Amino acid sequence: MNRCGLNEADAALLLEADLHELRGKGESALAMRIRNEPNMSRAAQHIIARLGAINTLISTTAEASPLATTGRTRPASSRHAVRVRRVMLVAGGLAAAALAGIILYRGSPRSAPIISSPPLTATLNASSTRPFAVLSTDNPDIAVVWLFSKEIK
Amino acid sequence: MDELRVLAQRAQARDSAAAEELLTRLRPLVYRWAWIQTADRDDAEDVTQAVLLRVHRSLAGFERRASLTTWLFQVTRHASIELQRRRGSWDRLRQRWSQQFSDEVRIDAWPAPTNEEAASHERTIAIIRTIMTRLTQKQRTALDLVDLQGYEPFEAAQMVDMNAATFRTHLLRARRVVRRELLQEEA
Repeated sequence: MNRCGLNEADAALLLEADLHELRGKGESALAMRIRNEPNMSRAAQHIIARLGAINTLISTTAEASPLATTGRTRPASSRHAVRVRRVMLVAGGLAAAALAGIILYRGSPRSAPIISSPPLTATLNASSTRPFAVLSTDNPDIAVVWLFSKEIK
Repeated sequence: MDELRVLAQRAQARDSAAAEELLTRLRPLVYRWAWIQTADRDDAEDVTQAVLLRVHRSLAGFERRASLTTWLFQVTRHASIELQRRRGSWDRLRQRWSQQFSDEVRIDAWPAPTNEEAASHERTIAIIRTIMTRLTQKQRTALDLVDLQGYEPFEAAQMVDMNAATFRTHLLRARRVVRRELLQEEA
């Protein structure tokens, strides 16, 4: 027995019924039962009403979708926010890679003490065909390899 | 769809207002289909833009097509499939969608003024989440076209370019999942 007061066999009939049967239309055995039995009728009406609510909510959401043609914007958890998070992720990865490069540089026996090193200028060499980018610096002993994560679009 | 044909004719004659109106009218429908296909709102936006661009480029043939709905649906479907192919893992998309949905739909949808309506709204969101996360793409599409948008099953089967028996199998599986959950609600 479910919350609509139907036994499993009757509920199973409603699970697969076409909409016109749920509305009690036609001469099928199920349509006639829906017309005549209050429990079946109530459950069928509940399904129809809820499907209508689902349809309305999906339509409402689609109508409100923010695309350039409408000039509307999506609030709070928007794709802009998602993109900002991705950019922050990229920036974080870049910072971590640069830090790792500096640590490696400091750990190298050939390296000069960090305190006396001149400021580094980096050039990014990236290609859309490679899953990584190379940050060359003006110090030939230092290069940072930045591996792209698959999670980042 | 007759109005759309008229708009398409005017747009083809370089009436920019008609072109904008045409795309504005088509956008929610295309977006809905794309959302159902991809189960991801960001992807739905990308697909919608690609489809509307295609419509704009195809204006010459657009108004002469026998079934605008079918053509538009198939363009949307192919664009969605192409996007998914590029993006890869369905599971990742589902996971991302399911994280986004509760925030975004609550914001986009109407505010529920009473507790009872708020509870009903929450249940509706839960069911939509079920549709997007537990059904396959074909099951979602079948359910959306027939049980939600009201297309006849044979017509919907043609739209998705599937034979009627296979389409019905997908539809029945989707119905079983969704309606079982609906029957568990308080009537």
